[in-house]
Amino acid sequence: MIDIPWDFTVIPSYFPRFYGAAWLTLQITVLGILLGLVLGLITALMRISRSKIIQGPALFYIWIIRGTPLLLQLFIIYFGLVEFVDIPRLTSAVIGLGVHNGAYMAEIFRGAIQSIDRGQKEAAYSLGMTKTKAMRRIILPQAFKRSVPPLGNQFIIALKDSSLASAVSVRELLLTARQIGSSTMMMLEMFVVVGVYYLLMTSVLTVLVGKLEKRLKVSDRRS
Amino acid sequence: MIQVKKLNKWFGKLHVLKDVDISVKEKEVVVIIGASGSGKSTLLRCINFLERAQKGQIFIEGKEVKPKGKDLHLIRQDVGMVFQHFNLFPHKTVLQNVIEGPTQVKKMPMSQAKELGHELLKKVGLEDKANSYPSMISGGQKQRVAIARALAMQPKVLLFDEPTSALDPELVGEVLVVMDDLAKEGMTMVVVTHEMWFAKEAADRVIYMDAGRIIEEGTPEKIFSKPENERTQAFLKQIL
Amino acid sequence: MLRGKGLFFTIVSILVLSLALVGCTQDPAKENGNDTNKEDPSSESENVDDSLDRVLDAGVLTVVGSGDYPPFNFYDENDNVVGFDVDTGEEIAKRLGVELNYETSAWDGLPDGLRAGRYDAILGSMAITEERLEVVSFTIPYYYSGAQLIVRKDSGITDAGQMEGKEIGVVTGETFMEDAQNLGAGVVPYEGVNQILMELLNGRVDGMITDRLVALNGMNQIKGGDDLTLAGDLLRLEEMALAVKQEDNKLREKLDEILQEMHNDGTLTKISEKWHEGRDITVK
Repeated sequence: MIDIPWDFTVIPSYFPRFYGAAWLTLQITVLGILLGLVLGLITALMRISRSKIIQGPALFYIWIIRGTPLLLQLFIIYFGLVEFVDIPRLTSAVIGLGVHNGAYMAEIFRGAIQSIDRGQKEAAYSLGMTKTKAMRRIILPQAFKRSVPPLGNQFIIALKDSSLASAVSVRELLLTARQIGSSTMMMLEMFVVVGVYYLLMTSVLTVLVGKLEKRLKVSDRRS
Repeated sequence: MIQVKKLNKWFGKLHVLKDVDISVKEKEVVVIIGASGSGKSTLLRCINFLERAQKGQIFIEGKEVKPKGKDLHLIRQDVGMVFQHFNLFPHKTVLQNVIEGPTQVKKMPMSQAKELGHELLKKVGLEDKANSYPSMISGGQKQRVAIARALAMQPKVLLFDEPTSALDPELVGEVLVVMDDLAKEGMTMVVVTHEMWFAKEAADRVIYMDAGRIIEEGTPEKIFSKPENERTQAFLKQIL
Repeated sequence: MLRGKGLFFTIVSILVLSLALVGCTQDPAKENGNDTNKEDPSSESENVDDSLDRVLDAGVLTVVGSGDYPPFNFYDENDNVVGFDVDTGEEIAKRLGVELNYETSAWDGLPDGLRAGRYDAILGSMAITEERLEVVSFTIPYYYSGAQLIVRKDSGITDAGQMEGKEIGVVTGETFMEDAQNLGAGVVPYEGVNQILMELLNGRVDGMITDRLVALNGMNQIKGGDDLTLAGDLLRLEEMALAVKQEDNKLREKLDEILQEMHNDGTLTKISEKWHEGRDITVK
């Protein structure tokens, strides 16, 4: 029997110590997703604009964020932003996560919007709708529906990405695991605890997204 | 009602409309026929500015409308269109599709719009499908809903872009009947179609186009029985 | 991909399992800590202590530190790890007749790395503590220092007692976390010393606790360090030593021998004077 220096029997008893951290992980994930959705939608609309002046910033943002690691972005936003604006630590971290999510969600939205049949736009216009109205009433609702599966995937990624906020002092699951782990000298055991938490959360999220997808398919039924 | 003068359009290098002149009077039913690629759909789509002609003029109710105009959406309230592929809004019910125009564009109050919607659906024979989604009804039914939707805006003229071309043969009839009724009620219509039955039955004037030009026009009797132009004759031989 | 019922049952099973086990009140303190200690005389004959031979045969002594702890171990402008710890390591290796390989990794992962056999010893200014003694062994100390509170000059704080309810930055996994907690302050964990100094300067934390020597060095180096000051005396004395696996007795004994020599013949003092502006930190 290999003598491993880890004590797995203590794992269940440590679960409750992470409730607060799990809650914080959930909070920063949700806030990061919300910010990402808003940024993503705005960027997507800018991206498909015919004006190069409007397209430019959107393209730049997507290029930079998709082209650099999240951890790097978090460090830069976290330590950099505060030199110009007085923002609290948690807000900095959430902004970093949100800005990161936004670039990916922008491409998801853009893909969905552009996948809507041209005829839909034409029908809306021929009823006398302006471009804006047609976008709001006809294109975007259909695009949102199509965005749900890839967005759901992005949500799960966002949940796991939240662990990187541990590098900027956010006491979410991973950082707490390291803290408790080092003070009890039981790092690996704490990592397993936290792993279970993440798995639980992502699984629940997957189920919820699946339900949402089903609900939205009502109008696609054939009878 | 509608006047098109010397319309010219290019898609890149392709010259698809060459010096096209047509005019449509109020209550007139004009049918445009021709082979694929003759430019007939493009001409139709230029009239409601879904396509922009590079040269030429378009007058609607006597006023010239420019393709780059800012108020195109206002013009389109008066010029309705029915599409080959229906283009119903899949995320809305049949009734919601029909009243989308009046409620969103004309700001009609919901109750009034719903009443109008039911009336129109009754008119096209689909009252019982009011709360169904487009995915649940047949092609012919979809097109009839599309017609009701266009009618809901109470347009001055209705454009039909090959309205039955995408339908299974047994479903074509129900749509043509609705269109015929509309014609009899005095709606101004411009119809691009291959359905000669409709042209003979309902058209006041038939226009034959080929390769971007108007080759011949006249009453259905004249065009179908005694076409003057050789190309017209050749075309008709093929399809009749 | 599990769907519907399958996924539901999996989640429920995991939840039930964890709740059931939580129900059994267990003492989180490591009752099994002794299992990892191979110093059981009855099994000594089966476990030959080849720790020293291992190093000598390899011709290399592999040690580790965080690499982010000036002036003890840090990267210079040529990307080499240098510092008091590194020089101490070089000297030890020389006396062992082997090369030194100084690695760096995140501080809080070092004990696990040691136990996993990645390193022969931790030589990164690790303090001897009760908790750590449960899982590793230490050599004799090679220097002495202690926990020190740093604050901004304009904060008006002159004593650690004033930190109650405030926020103190520490590096994740360092002993100073507890010191901060004991002061009744909120603990804000960071990845490295430099980051905490930055945050202290921009005001997002009210104080910082780190090793006194590291503090002095940091305040010297960082831009704006003049705005920082030490608040009060050492909160707690610490003895820094090398950490080795508990079963590596032969290695530890040899290291103790060498360190004692270095203390006695003044080598350690010389290294100290080099890195700490003439101060001798190797005596209590």
